Amino acid sequence: MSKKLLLPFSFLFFAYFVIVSEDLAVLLSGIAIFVIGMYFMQDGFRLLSGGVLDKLLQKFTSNLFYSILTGVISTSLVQSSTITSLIVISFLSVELLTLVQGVGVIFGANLGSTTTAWIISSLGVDVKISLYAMPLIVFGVVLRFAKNNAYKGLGNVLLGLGFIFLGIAYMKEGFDTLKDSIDLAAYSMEGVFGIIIYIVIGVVVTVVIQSSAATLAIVITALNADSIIYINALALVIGANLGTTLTAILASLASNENGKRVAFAYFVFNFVTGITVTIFIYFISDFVDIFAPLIGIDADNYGMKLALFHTLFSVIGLLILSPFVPQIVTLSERLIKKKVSAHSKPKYLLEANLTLPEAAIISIKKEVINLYENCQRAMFHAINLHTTNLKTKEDLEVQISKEVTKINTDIDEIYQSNLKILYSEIIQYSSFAQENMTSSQQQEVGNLKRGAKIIVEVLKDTRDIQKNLNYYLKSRNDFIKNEYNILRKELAAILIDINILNATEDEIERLTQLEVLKATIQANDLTNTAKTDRLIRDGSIKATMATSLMNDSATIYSTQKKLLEMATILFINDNLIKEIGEHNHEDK
Amino acid sequence: MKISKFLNKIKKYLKDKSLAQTKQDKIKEIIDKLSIKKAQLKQEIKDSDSALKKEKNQKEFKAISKLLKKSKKLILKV
Repeated sequence: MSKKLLLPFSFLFFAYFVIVSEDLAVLLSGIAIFVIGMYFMQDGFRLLSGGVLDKLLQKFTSNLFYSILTGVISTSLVQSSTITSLIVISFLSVELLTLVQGVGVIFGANLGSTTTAWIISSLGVDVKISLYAMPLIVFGVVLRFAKNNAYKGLGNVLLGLGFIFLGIAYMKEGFDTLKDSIDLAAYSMEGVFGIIIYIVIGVVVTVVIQSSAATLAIVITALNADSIIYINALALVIGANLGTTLTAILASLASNENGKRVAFAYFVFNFVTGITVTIFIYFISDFVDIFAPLIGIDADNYGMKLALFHTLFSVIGLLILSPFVPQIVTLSERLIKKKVSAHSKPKYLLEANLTLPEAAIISIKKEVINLYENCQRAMFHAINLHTTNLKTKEDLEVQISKEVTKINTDIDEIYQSNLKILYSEIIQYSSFAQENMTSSQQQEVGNLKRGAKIIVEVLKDTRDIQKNLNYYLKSRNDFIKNEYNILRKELAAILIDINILNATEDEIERLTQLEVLKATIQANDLTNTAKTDRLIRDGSIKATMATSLMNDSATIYSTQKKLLEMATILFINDNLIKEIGEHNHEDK
Repeated sequence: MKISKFLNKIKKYLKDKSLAQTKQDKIKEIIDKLSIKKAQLKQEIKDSDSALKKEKNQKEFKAISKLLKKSKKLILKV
């Protein structure tokens, strides 16, 4: 919601200033060009590093110190704490990193991102850098057309630097001309109130332009043009750091719980550091004045002094908060809990039944059926069929005859966020329950586990055919469209038949129906194969269509066979009847 | 000691035999049910007017015949 509001708000915000003043328009263009430059530079470094960052994060995070160091180095390399945090979040989700290591990397990334301020201030706002911008952009564009990723990356870096220089030049011009019409320095505020006001401005500007580096560039150029006073510039830097955490929080709203926890840790870091630095701002400012000449920074080089202040901000944060990373992680885990949807919660796996073998078997069986019902719904949706009013084959005919409307179904997402949890719970519960069982009971539970495994397999099979199905159901070639509609119908039909079979009272009748279904799918497979051959010979479908159809047809047949095996496990209760069904009468 | 071992073996033999007997009886029961169903279907196929119904019954008839074969093979193995 807040993300949705941000775009129109930003649009109106900029539109107002662009219309109100031509000088402001120049300044804002400079910011926009700078942001584009940052984007190109980050992308370029990402291409140039070609997986180095991933390897760094994977290998050198064995303890908190290394995690922080890796965060510093990798973020300096790619000039983006956002890229680092995105990799951290993806590594956390596959457990390549622990949350403590991840938070360590993020803390380090905060320090690593301060290199941007050093680049901007050292490349200079004093010289006419726009002169360098044009050649950089020209060479950058040429290199971008290279096929090699390294050259392409270098092209993007040059292009990025070119735009950054150009952006700074426009910002400088904007501030210089703005100085003539509006005396920004007149708005300078000394004292605590001024610091707070400028912190808030720093937060707002960073949230609006979504980049703390761009805020820093504005501050450095404004400082250089004497549009703001030094102490207010320092407050703006604090605001930029706080603002960037808000940007991270907004971005994390769409991510999983680990993403949110990392954003929380990032917020804690900048919030605590921000408060500390604000309290001691005059003391730190004096320290910068004393320390700057020692590392060769001139007393009047406010740009570099600002970069030093920015670095000190992160160093102070690291010194204060690094010892408390485990506590911050625990707090984040307590505040941000994993969301478990109703579908992924087991309904029948009661702990009290674990020591009662027969009751445990019933619990497991019911839960596997629950898993199947959830999976079945996802399968119907994946093949663009609505489950409401889909009880019989007649209902199916009605839906199939209508024009296909795509139902957005991300099977991987459904599996990861719902069914995997349920499946894991079943496996875990079964393993514990098997401890107290006789060998025949253990075998029965083993079969149920196999049933659950089949359910997950058929879901993944459906995912495999989903892409082609959606593609060919919209094809202009009626032959291929028709064939895919038949495959869709065959898969849906078996799901409906299994539901009907489950509703049948008599076990022998169920077994008979299973046998009928086995014969039906076998006959369908033979018909489909023969039909594909004929369509190729007639030239009705292209070879590429035919291969897709053959593969998907084979997948459907295999899925149907698996579904029948699962139905035998779940819906035939009498073991002897089950044995007859599974017995191969052609055994000699 | 030896006598008790011998007696245990006899007990186990009798138990297994009785289990096999029960299993055989159960299969026979299933065969009977399947046979009745098969006969019913045969009649229904004969009497059926609708082609669709006839086709459905024929499929079931084939399935039951297969199950009967399977059951008879299985009873020999028990």
